[in-house]
Amino acid sequence: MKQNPRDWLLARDKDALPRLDSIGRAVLAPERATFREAVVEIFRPNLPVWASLAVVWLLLAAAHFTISPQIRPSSMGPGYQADMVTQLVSPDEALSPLDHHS
Amino acid sequence: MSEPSHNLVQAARNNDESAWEQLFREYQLRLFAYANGLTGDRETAFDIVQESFVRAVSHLGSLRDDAKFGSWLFGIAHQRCMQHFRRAKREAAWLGSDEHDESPEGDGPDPRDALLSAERAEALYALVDQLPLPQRSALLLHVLGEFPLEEIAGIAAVPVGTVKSRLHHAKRALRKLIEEGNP
Repeated sequence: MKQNPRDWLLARDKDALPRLDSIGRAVLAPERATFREAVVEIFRPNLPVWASLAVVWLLLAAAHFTISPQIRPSSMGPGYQADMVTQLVSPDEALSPLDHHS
Repeated sequence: MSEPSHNLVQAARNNDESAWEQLFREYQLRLFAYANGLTGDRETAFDIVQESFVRAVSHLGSLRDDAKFGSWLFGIAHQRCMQHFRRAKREAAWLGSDEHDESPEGDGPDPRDALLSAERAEALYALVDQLPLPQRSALLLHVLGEFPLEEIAGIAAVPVGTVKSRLHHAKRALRKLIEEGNP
């Protein structure tokens, strides 16, 4: 096949194509590449440790959801903080510090 | 050079990732060959290609004519190359006084047609590498990009006559090599 100088010049640099491909991908998706690299960097070196932690968290979650609602602390219900305040002090006392600034 | 379709550049304007991938694939090797041919340093050429792509993605809005995408992209790479030379303070060593002869291309065989045997390729490379920077740039844009003179002038930010002169001198040097190889 007949070649021209352009073909020769390009042929000289064809071995650069794989790296050029990766450069193009990195330019188009820097955030994605960075995130992927970060995830790999964090998890891959200590994979057994992270797996063990995940198992522990799963066990804790399972234990948490198997506990009867009756013996779960009532403090977990809505309005807990407001109830605590009104049990300890009256609303006027609770809001009195704010009066000094108004 | 076959310019990318208007639709492809338009899609790239709309942040279409696959359009950008196609554009990069279309130009990456030629851009690299241009930067490598100009700087003579592969690592620098890779950096220049990457910087050119990054700038192209972020500044495509400044391209007024989609049909000129190729010369616009080469213009970015050319500017990066010049910055490289300025940084390295090598520009003075590369620049030659080749801007006096504004004559058009002479008669005789065109080196692009004459240098058609693979065994002369290395000689061509060697000669291209020895050309002064402006001539080398013009020749590489002419050969790799197949840009018209007006677009080469736009890329290099010089008058069309200067481009003609640089190409003339570069081709004359190439022709001399051919003649020396074929007495």
